[in-house]
Amino acid sequence: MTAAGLPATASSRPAGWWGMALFITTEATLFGAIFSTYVYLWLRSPRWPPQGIAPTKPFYPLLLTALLVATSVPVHGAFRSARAGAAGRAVALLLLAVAVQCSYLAGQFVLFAHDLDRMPPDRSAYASTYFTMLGTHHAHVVAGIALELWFALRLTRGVNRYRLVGLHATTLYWDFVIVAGLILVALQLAPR
Amino acid sequence: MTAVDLPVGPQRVERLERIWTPRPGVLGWLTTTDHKRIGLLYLFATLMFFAAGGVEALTMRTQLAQANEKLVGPGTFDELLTMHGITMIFLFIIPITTGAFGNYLVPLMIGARDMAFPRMNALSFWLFLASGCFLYAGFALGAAPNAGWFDYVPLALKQYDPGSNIDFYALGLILNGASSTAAAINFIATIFKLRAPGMSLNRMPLFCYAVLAVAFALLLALPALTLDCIFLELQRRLGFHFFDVAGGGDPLLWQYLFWIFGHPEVYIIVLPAFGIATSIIPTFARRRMVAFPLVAMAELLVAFIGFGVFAHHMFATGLATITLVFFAAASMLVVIPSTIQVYAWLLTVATGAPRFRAPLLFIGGFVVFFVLGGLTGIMFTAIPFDQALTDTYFVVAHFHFIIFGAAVFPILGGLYYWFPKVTGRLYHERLAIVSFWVTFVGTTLTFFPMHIVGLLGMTRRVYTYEPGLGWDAYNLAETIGGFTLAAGLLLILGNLVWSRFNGEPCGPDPFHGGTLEWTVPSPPPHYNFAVIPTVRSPYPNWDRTDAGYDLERGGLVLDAGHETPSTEVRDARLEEILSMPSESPWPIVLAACVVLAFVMLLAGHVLITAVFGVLGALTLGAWHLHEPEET
Amino acid sequence: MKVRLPSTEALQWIGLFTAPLAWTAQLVLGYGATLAACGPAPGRFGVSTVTWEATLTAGAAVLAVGGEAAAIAAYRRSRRDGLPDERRRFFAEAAMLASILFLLAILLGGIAATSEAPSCRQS
Repeated sequence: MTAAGLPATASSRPAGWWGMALFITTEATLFGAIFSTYVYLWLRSPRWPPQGIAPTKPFYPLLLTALLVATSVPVHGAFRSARAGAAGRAVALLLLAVAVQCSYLAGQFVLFAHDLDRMPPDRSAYASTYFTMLGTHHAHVVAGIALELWFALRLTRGVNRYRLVGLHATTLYWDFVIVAGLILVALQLAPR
Repeated sequence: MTAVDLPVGPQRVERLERIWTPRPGVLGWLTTTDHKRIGLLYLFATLMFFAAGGVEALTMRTQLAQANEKLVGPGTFDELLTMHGITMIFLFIIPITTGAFGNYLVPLMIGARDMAFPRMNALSFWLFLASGCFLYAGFALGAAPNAGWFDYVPLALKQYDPGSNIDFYALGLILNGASSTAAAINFIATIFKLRAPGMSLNRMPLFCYAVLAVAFALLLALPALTLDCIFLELQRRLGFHFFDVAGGGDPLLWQYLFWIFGHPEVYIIVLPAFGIATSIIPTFARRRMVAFPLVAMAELLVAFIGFGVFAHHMFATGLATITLVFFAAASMLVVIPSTIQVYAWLLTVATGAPRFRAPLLFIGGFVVFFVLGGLTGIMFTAIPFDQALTDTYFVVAHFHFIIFGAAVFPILGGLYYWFPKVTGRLYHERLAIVSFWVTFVGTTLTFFPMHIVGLLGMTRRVYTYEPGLGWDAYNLAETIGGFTLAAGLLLILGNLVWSRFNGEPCGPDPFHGGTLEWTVPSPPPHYNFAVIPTVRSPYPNWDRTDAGYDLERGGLVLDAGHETPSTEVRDARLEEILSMPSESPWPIVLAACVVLAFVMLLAGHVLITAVFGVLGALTLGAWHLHEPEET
Repeated sequence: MKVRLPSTEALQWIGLFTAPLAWTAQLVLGYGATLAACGPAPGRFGVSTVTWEATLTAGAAVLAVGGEAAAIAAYRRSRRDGLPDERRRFFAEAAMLASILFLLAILLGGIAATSEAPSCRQS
């Protein structure tokens, strides 16, 4: 410490953590607005999905979502390892998480392409909202993967406070992506 | 250093000077992360946009001064009215209150040396400037946004507005929203974590409460607008269906999302003005603010309740009666927190020993306009009244009384009030008082007759009107008022510019204010505080003399680097020392990547957009490669 | 049976946030119920608007009263000089005012939402 008599323990919620928490608040509001749009149009439509579009089959979306939820384990594990000073283990857990998340994304892209075939977004508000909703979430997943890869890279040079706070913020972000994913799949599958 | 007792030895002060000296020249300004420099950059940029918005207004007023005037045609008039609204709201009032006043003052008021995220602060500014240039580029290309600042569908859809006017609108506002979101995050993190030791939340200045309320409102309201603009672009460019009934959509969806943003937006506009008023009043009334906790709460309440009244902008759209009545009820109640504040201000002046210097006069003008504008606002909560007068000049009168009278007047007062702090010189008092009266008369003459002409049936957004409807004299009066108002504003500008070079030099505290910014020299040194103060009350500058306590008790000089303390959120117990970045090129580079990506998106070059996106991501990486020094 | 009250710190936050969140819930859920009831397929979700709105209002009002009680309790327990009591008192004062205001908003909104019949009529 640079000045005499300062406490040795650093804050558990430093400014960087708050920055991410606030960013999540605004992104959560964005998701809230998209989800509300979907529900609004649903309640304003005689049929939802409209005539001619079959409801989404639940099996693969649910399976993929379970995979998404599971990635919470290595991500949190990476932060705990880094906090304990085990940089190598943190990097390994981050890379494991990224590998699973990429396969999640690959599965989602296959479903996305298949859905685009059966219900083009420029034919109905249902499809427009459906794809906007999903696409927004996938974009957030990509951002999360990028953050984890970045920290995996930086942690190969060792742990320091800056990187640790950043990794903590990343785990918070990833939890948010998972919660948004759960609400998303519920809305995706609820109209039958 | 000026003639102020140095709290620490001159060697340590010299060290602080050396550590915090900015990079010289234009490069220093382009790469600055200093909150005071960024505040000034915002000030100059917003004043330029204010002038542009003013020219648009005066052109419209000249066109409307007489019946069947032929100064501009309907197409141009549509662009003028749209750009006037967009400029004044997104490019003037929000950036000047948050970006200029907020950035310059918040760290000084809380005893910090900078904002929590200095580089992101710079990014906010460059993104804001880019969004303004982006929107005005539309004008240069003859394709300025032209569907009103609310941009209702179906008018804004490709079918009725095929050019790129609306694309400039949608993409420009998304860019502007990103800038404001980053700024909001910065303000909240700063107010939560960077307050001086001892500045518990109940000892924080009321201006900071206003900024906190605004920042939260921005965070929660902007996504609705961003999403609306995304939907609009997806429908216009890719044929998606959100707003057309034939495709299963709903045109009201645009309005819902717009007003869920739009109503909190008007509180975002007026709350900082409340904050400025609650800063000026105690100083010139020479008395602490009456009911301080209630005023602080009222600022947050106005922002919060503002989210639940938005459908009152849709009373004439055919919504179910049950919805209308619910929102009318909520709209009546949002008045209460504002009224609490008005009473607190008036009681503070009445029970104090007021000196009616120019800043307080502007606050007086503000209270007059706010009460009148607030009353016409409440009239609109009566649904039948609203349905008869929606989209008439009565609405235009109401919101200009609030936006000009209640939001701009405190800004003008604030410019005079903090001018000595920023420049180290006093403004010319007599000229300032004259400038107040000219502006006050001009504002009244411009906007009061609009109530009458609205009741007589003149609708909004008309580019001309037939003679003999009884509107002519009022319109002429409004135009004369507009030019008078402009003269008042020019007097203010002239006073400030003249005083900058010829004003009488002043010390740190010419008005004897109570908050921390008055404890540092004028202008503040680059490091703000030689010793980070330890605070014991909401009016530390008054209490240090009254109660005789030592602000420098903590001994926090922090001259080992570019440092400021971080404290706990509620009671501001000291936690750690933060190392702040100094100049950095990455914010302006990232802003350039982002705006170029938007330009390419507007032009339809998706691949090049992606390239700039990737460059932006790489810039973010370079940004974070530079880590703060650890001790 | 003795009920242990939450700490003064917790009571302060409960007092501050309960009433606003209750009003928000009444607004959002009430609006959703209106959409469902007044849309093209009413009765799809088996709701009667008046029942919904009355229940929401009652529930929100109870929560708001609870919030007010917490605020009063927090105020009474923050008597000492200096921090943290000074700060808790500040927020408790603010919360006492705010909770009453939100209670008023909840009740007025509830009266508005249950007094109109037929409530789906377009105006």
